Amino acid sequence: MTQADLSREEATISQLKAQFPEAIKEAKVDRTHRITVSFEKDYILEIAQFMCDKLGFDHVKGVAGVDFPTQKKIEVLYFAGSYSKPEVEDFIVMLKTELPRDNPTIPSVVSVWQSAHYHERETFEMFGVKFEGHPDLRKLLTLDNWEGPPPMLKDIKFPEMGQR
Amino acid sequence: MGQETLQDFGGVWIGKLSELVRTIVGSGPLKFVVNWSRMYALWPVHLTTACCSAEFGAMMSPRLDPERFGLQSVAGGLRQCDLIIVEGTVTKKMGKRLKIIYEQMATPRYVVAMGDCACSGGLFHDSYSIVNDVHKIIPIDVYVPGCPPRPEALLSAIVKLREKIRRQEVFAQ
Repeated sequence: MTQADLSREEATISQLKAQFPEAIKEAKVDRTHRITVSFEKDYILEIAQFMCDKLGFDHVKGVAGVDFPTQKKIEVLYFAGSYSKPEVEDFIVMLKTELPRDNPTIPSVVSVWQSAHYHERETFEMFGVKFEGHPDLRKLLTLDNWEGPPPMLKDIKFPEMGQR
Repeated sequence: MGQETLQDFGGVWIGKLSELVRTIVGSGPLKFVVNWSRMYALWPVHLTTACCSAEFGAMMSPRLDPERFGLQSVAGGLRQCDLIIVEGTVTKKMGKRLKIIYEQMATPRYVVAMGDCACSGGLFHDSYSIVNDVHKIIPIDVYVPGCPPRPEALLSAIVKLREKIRRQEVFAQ
């Protein structure tokens, strides 16, 4: 088995690091076609604009949340991909940022990546992350008369369903 | 005065006649014919609640050929169907729709609960958005446990349901 060619992944990382030296905290190559970039949350709009305009990542495939109750943080993940640029169309960049658990707010990327609209609504509903500047931040999937807490947080229990 | 007497007279006899017809149809060879036609024309509603529908698709394939038992997938409307196969997890939102679908079907109607989730909650038993007891929403005739059940198990449930239909009363109580 030959060694996989990772030059494209490393080139993308070095481009991002050169553009945002103070924002990127950590960047690594997971495997071919897949890199992970951790960054400070205030730079999300600039990074998204740069990736959309210069690198060709024109949409997000998903926005996800991860809850860490012991470390008092919520991670928000953006999976950016490309339809318009053929060189990177099989390539996914995972953007990862950390938010404080008591007040998770982050600027919305809908103005850059419109496909983040429903994904951000779902993350808002399930994890309570507030996306500032989102055009229509309502709940999406739970019951119509749902008034409970964000159900995907780890410390939320539903005793009426037998959870302990 | 005379008309009232006539109406009473006719009403009594019409009531007795309908009782007679019910007795004749509900017993003997006519009961056999009615139940036989019911058990050879089971049309399932095209309703997919979760992933058990993959096994349902395998069951409807020519390999097992459920059409020999009268179970055929027709593109009919809801009001011509008489069987619901609850294929997997029922969320609280879907439970509301399931009840609406059940109430729109014409009697007699039958329900098969397929998979652990539809029987008792299964893997998602303590989740906040799942209906654990589907039998509290709609009455269930046959339960098929398994996660997911084999297509043969579902087919055997259909055979059991046919046996139930063969022995049932023609007019529901």
